[in-house]
Amino acid sequence: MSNTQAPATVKKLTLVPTRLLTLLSSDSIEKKVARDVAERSILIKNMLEDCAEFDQAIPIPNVTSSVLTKVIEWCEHHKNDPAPAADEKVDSRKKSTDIDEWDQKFMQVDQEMLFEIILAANYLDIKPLLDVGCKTVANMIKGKSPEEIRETFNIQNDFTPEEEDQIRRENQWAEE
Amino acid sequence: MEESLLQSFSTLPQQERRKFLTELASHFHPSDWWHLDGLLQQQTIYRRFDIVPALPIELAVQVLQYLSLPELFRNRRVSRYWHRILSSDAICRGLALQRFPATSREFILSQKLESHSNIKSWRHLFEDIASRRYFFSKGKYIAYPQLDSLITEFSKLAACSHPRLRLHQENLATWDCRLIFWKHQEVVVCNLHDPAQTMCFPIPNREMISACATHSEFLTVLTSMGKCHTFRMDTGERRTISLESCAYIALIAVTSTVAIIYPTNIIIWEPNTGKSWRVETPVAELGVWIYDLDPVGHVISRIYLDKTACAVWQQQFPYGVRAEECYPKPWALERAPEYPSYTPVATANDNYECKYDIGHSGFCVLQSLRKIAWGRLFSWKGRIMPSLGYDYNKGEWKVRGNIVQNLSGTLEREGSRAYVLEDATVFWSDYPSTGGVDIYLSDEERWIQWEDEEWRLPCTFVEDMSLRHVVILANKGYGRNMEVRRFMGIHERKALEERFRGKVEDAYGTLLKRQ
Repeated sequence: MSNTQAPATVKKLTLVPTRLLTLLSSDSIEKKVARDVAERSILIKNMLEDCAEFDQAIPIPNVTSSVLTKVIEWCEHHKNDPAPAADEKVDSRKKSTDIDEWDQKFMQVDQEMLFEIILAANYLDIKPLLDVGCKTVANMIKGKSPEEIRETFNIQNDFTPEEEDQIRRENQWAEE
Repeated sequence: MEESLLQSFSTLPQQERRKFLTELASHFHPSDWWHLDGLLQQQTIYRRFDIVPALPIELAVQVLQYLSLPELFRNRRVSRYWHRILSSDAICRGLALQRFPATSREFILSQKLESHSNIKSWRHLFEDIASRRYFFSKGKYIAYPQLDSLITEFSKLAACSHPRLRLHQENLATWDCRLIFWKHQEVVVCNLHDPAQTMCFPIPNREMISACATHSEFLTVLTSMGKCHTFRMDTGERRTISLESCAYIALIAVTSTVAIIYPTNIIIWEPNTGKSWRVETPVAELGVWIYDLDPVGHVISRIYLDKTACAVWQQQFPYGVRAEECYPKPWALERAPEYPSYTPVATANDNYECKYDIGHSGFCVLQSLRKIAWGRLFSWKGRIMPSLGYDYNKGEWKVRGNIVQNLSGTLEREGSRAYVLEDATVFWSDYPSTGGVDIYLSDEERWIQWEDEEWRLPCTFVEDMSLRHVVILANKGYGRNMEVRRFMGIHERKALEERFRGKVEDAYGTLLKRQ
């Protein structure tokens, strides 16, 4: 983290660029993963920066092995992506919900898995993956009527017709 | 039998399968349905899950940022759970801060100050701004009844003293939700948030008023006698300096600083401290200059637009430092990229042919305010050319490549202006010859157009961070008329309706129907 440590890390990386790390999922399953892949996660990256040596398995307590496998798959594919610009957060809203083709395929999972991936990306601090996840969910909602949204997510309409009508009237402007 | 049945099912074409399954389902016993439900639960591909409400708030906000404003409200109908999430204060706070940062900051401040704000919660605030923005984008307004008496007075005045409509705007200025108009020896400042707080400021010595501006608690008036009067609006206290001449180009007033622009120099005057500076500026032979005064960094900038080049000069004058110590400093000059290097833009409709035909173009300079100065180039051939602007904050030139509308006939676009608001940049061009108004909302990166009959009148936008007021100068019958149109959120409107119930219901009721 601090400036004094940064040069040491860089040096180390150039010496052993493809060192394998072991990640330990919440259900105690070990995953071997190349260091540069794992470092797509800012959480892991910072962790590695703080400790010079990391021979033990890194516990990832919030992520199950099946989700972790998916996340690693994504990191593998995106390991050479340029680091996101610092001010990307400001601009992200202006971007459309377009997702590139590989990511779209990658996100074709059941909704629970999608949810887990978003949570994992958030926990592991992999911003681009989090963005893709959020966009995927947004695309499932965007342009749909409340009825279609219920269908998409298998949601029970638990309003009485009167209640629903009341809400419709409250937000009349948005219904046009 | 089972084997052969399954065999034949698997060979059936898709349509036949569906038909069979539908048929089969009609023979199901309730327990069969339960069994099927269990099977579906195991099929992970079909497993559905109500993701949005289950997400932590900050992630839910991140998902919801991609939805349009109406969607965010329409989807409250999905279920009780969705309703609770979408109308929760936490989510509304996140969404408000994200989409309307300036208004939200103001709200936070007003909460801290325990001011008289009517807004009770983040939900209330977000509903109000979101609906207001929606009405704004549709051009759906409410006329402002409280101003009737003032407007009538102004209309009479305007009708008798100025024969031409264009002159109206010279007698009318708007700033920070204040409407200022002036007669011969008096300036009227009307606060549109609270019309009861209308004030009159008499000008001494029967001087003719030539320009006015309000800035925070000050009102600055330039007169034909070459005087600059600054009033404190709360106490009426007046301070005056004599100017070298009345041949100024522009008056800019920001916070407690006033800049009076002359062709070769700028006078900077601080009524608070009584200090003034004189700054020499490079001489411009041709082209148009626009000026901007940065209230915080105390940077004065000017933009130069002409046929061949576009440049920005900037000069800083640190607050409180005497003029002799910081001047003369060379003006930093930055040239804009050459026009021909701009790539032709994609058009909304490919029927347009787009060229930067500078030789035959007139250019129209828009107002420069606060952070961004925008110039807008127009072709005379009936096409709107992209806007060109310099962003002081980022220090870069920007071209807006949208072509909004093909205008046939002559362009009469003297009235085009840009307003840089906190939440959105509004490009405002009204074109009386063809009708309608173009507006560019920078935060949503889209153009909107008001083309209704009511908008085919010269308009002035009242600068207000939250896109609230428009002043209309209209030619109605013999006299000229002024109208203030206001965009209101649903809660604000409700409060107003309650306040005026009984009094103006009839007259006002018809107006309300427009929304």
